Amino acid sequence: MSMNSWPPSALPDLSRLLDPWRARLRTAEAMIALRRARRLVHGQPFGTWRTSLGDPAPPAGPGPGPGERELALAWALARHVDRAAWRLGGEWLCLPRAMALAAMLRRRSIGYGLHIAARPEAARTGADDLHAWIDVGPVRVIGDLPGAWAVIYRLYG
Amino acid sequence: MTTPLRKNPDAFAETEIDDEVVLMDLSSGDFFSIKDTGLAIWNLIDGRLDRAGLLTRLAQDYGTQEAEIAADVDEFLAAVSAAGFVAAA
Repeated sequence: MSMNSWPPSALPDLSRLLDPWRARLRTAEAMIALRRARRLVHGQPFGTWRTSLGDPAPPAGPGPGPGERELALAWALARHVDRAAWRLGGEWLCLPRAMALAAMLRRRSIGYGLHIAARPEAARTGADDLHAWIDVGPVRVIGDLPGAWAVIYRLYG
Repeated sequence: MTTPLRKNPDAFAETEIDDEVVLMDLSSGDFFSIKDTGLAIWNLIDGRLDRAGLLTRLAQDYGTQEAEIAADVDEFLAAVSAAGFVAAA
């Protein structure tokens, strides 16, 4: 009995050749999503676009949760959002980053929770007292800031 | 305001942190902090008490005269009503 592998070693591994292009496309997708998110945050009242981020009601039932592959992809997409923010330059706050990632996760049917939270008064400094992040399953894939946060609003995608 | 006052939960999201309630206006995305006497008033708005009832309860709880706190209560109610967080039941 022998094990067949694909691609056969004699052929070039096309997936490896495609990876850099896939990465560039994902970063480009993240750049577009970031720009769109910033336009919404600065140009439209929250109430007009919040439902596009997800549903306030959590998914029905406990569900199986994300698989390892989905989690790895979500983590990779989050890093593309960070890279896109760096490529675009300027300051990209937590909410546009979370919104951009939410759009990319939704496109791939990966479930997430987007959280909007405030620091306890005693820990406030006047900067970064409000925060947004995204969890996929038990993992905070973007917006992991240290310290205590009290979640005010959650949306599930 | 002689009709009972109720919160409008479709208009805001809230969380309680220590001795403070932070509200997020779901229309504008603005945030509000309510604490101290504001929090006492906020916690009494339950769909049963009207303005007079609120004043009576607060005066009892704080051992003061209704007239002394009326202006503060009216100011608070005007602010949360304007934001759409509270309405007549």
